Amino acid sequence: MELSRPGPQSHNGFAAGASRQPVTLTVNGHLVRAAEGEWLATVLDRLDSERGTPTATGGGPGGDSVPHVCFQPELGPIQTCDTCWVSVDGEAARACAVPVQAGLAVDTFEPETTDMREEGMHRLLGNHNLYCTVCDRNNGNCPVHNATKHVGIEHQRYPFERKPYDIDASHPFYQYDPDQCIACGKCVEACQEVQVTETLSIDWEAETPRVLWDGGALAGESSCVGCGHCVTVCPCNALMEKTAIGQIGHFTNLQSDVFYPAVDVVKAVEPFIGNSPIFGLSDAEAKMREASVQKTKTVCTYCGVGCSFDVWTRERRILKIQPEHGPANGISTCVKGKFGWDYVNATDRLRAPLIRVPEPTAAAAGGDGAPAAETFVETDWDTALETVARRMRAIADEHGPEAVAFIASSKATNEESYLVQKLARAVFGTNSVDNCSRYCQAPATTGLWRTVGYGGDAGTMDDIRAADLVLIVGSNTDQSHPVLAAHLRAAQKKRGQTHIVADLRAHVTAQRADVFVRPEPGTDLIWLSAVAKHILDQGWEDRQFLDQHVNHEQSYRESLAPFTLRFAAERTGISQETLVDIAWRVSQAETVCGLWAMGVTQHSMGSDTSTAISNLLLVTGNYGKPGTGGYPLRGHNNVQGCSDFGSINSYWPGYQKLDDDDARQRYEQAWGVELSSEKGFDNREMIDAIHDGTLKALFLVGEEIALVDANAHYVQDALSKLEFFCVQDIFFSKSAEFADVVLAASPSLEKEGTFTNTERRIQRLYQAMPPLADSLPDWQILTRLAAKCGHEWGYGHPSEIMDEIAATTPLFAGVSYARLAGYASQCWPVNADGTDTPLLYTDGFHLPEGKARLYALEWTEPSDQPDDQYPLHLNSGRTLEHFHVGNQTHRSAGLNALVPGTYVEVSEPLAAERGVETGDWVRLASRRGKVEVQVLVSDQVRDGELWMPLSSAEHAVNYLTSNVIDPDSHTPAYKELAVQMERLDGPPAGGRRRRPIPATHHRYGNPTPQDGVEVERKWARPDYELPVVQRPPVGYARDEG
Amino acid sequence: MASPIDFDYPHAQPGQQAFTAEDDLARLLETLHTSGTLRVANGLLAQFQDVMAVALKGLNSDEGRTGLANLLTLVKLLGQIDSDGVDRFAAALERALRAAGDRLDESDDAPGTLSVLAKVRQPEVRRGLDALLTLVGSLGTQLHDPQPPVYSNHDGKDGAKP
Repeated sequence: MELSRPGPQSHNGFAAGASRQPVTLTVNGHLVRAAEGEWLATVLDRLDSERGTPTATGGGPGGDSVPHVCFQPELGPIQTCDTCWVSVDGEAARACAVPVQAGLAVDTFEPETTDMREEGMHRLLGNHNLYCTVCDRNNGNCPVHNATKHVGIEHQRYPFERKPYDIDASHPFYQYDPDQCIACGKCVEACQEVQVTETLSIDWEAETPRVLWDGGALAGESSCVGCGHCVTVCPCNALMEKTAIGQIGHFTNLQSDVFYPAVDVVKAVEPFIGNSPIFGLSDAEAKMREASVQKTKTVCTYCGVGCSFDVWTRERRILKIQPEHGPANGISTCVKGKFGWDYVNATDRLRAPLIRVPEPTAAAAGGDGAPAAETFVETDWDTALETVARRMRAIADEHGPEAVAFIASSKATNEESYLVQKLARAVFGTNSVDNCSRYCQAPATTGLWRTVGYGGDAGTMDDIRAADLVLIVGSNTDQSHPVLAAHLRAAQKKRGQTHIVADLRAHVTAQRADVFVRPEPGTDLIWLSAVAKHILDQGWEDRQFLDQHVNHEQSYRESLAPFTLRFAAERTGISQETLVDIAWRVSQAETVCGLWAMGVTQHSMGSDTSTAISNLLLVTGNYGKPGTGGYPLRGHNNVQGCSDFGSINSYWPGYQKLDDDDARQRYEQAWGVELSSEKGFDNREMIDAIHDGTLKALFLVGEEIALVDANAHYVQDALSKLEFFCVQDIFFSKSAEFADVVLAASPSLEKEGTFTNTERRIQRLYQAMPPLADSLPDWQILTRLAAKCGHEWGYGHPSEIMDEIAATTPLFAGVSYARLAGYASQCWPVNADGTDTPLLYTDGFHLPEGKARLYALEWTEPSDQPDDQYPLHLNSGRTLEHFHVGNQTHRSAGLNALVPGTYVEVSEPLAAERGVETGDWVRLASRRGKVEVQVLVSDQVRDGELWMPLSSAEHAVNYLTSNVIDPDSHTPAYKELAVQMERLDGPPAGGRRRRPIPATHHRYGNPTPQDGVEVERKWARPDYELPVVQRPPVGYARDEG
Repeated sequence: MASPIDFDYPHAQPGQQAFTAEDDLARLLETLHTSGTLRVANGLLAQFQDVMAVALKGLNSDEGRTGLANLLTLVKLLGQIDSDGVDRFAAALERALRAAGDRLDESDDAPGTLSVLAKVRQPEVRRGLDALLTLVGSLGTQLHDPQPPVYSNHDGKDGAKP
């Protein structure tokens, strides 16, 4: 089934209701084919592009295209700049806002509209201090610069005058310069309609309109979440990344007492010589920049959405992130993806391998029987790798392959995951290899395996965006998957997509929901099953779908008997009326997507609750057609791919079972070794096996297991018992403290490879800079380690690894670097001819009988419930600004400025009852341990419930969590946690008394929702008239010749 | 069995002090680098053809050519004037301007016509007038019979690079 891939912001690229059917129109006398409803400006641009010439806006001389400063297809027509006027059927029209229809006659050379474009451009320049040569935006792609050149403006008709506003540099990551702002409103449109944070607006009624944050606050004190959409789409240098200012151009890093006089001199010369020579100079300087500024496509590493973008670098300096073509994100980013890259050049990056040695003084003293104090020293790669190979080989030889285990990184590439499992299986003969999906997403995968067959999202984000109704369970989407959350908000705002949200916290996603329910902790399975039962009881199910595509309905129906509305209401706290409403909405919606995350999976019933969501989708026929399906939202950039490519203890790569002899023989032949089909340890089993003495050596790649696995005391105790422990990472982590050898790895910007996002979408990342100092990309470390163990793999480039994978793994048969070049992507399964599968189950389900299965479930009480001694439920999760425990994001000064540390959110009534206020320190104690954190009084949590961010190494929530796991997936029940809270008299040692989140944080902002840029208000201004030149402008002699 | 080590990984040092010529050279190189000078040079050299093509495209308008021509004319003219003469003229002009300024400061009353004419009798005034009139006469001669322009009207069609 061939499916269209409209793309993230494609709804803006066409007029509402567009059929998108092929039509023919006339452009400058030539017949042209386009899609019905497409914006004319896009068609005109395409005509030039197809001829191989840059468009008028892109810096070309223009053939059929015309400039358009405020239009870009991802935003749709804004109509503020008046630079794209053309003649359509003899009438003047803005090309950006004309939906293409059959038979249109378009003339882009008609004199009157040509004059209108010129006048429009003159007006823009009156708002913009033009100084291209000393502007960091002058990179050949500045729409204002290019449009000015294209229109041929030699002398400005309306001289620029300083505006009565100061530069706003209050935000940590970007600044706004009103003098440069042409008030085109692209930033407003992006903020209001793409990101839908609704912070930006323009005060069109003011004497000098400008962009406003929250109607007039400083940017850094507003509701701005720092997503960077506004900076990305700004067509000039009004909004710029602070990392780019003064850094991209050769002459832009001038102090203001040099900068402005230089600009003034050039402006004084302009009336005599015109703009052409000046533009010649700035164009030449822009061309020079190409020698030092590198633009490299990469894929974000901060969540599973899989945003891709160009990273602009100069040597190791990261100048800016520019998203444009990402298949998952389009022009979208979040604050981490757009700005949070400081960690790459952090001064405490590991620069060489480290090896544990006795302290020099202790070694010299020695002999008293006490264990010698130890430290780490830098060593060379040969020594480090020979040590790892020798020690691990010796342990495996002495105790058997089950004595060694490997954990791959969900942050590393697919190729590196494949090599970790190859190292475990082919070199050490063990299947004890796993990854951090064990901590988060394994239950979701189990739920999907049970019901529909593939352990991945059923479709792509195109489907989620297109759904009529989205059910979001246990997902703090706006913080954990911010770009997807933005696109959900856009779908809700622009076309009325319905959102049903179930969560403990009233976070932003919940606040914006059409229906928001707050079940008692650990009871999602109950209400989901009750809703499914009610649908079946009422006959609201999709009978045809169930009959044709689903098995085991009867046993499932029988299993639902306990889940009456009354029982569900009593146990979950959701009213029966609300449950019926949800059942009605879900059953009646044409297309439904179910989204879930850690709020579902990190429970002792994580697999069952995931299954319950999938069951509900099957009952209502929501699989196998566009806009439907189950979507566990993967939390790390490559947590999907890490399992897909084999770092999982019970499968060969591509989810081929270990007892699949065909698969085993295929890898034996490819790798030239005999392989074991005996199941290995998973992450949790590894910790237990260390404690019981079975597992003696562990090789850990890019995971902070000491803090992210549940019950950190138990885990760290295990790590200290290992005979040998090797950690491969980019920083000296908490886990590394226990290591014998620490290998210095390279982050994503320093290597090539592929990531697989939550959509099963495989994307390439390219090397933007060489590895820092003596660090190495993981795939090179693993290859060299294998060689030290006597296995010469011989990979010279990650593409060779992928070629081997494609040749041996049916799920990726048609994956190749050539097919993934640039921004191309493939969603697995990928056939040998390269065709991929964005939407699963269009031709049946991936189960033996080709049909889905309804899976019978029972509910059991959650573990670690509150009691008199531990009366509060503690929930945890991500914040927008920090990833995981913060090993990367805490090295960003800007992100730390937004959220400096950790805290616990406490409801106002509970805070009053306990006598605590925001900023006070409290001790949280569970049945396992305690942490000391600051209080943040919040209206997002209920009485009796607390919430804490994950992003702290010092006060990690996992010092509190338990060893209880989901029996089906072995994922820890992180979200089943009872604590007591005790007020402290003051900060602990090293702690400070300050607000845990600044009062200027975006959560305290006051958004100003509106429908886009509201250009009608500009047109209603008394001084606005269509750009028709009706009088000789002041100071400009019009050339009548 | 490995106890955790509270290890403080050393941060990279941003720079080193210069003690040797090599270190001085490294600092110079670093300065050239951080000031952007090397990047300018690299950019110019690496993209020379493109840079020149773009620059010339911009300059190659009527106004650009005229402006450039005028600039070059002035440069050439200044280069042809005897520097001793210019020096003598400039020094005399500087003293004359100062004297004129002093004279203006002496009195608020405008001098009478006869007193102004009486100054023509002074030999230094006559010398100055003679120099100015000679200059004016020479200009008149040149304007009546112009010399070939100091810049080239070369059209690039004689085998030179277009």
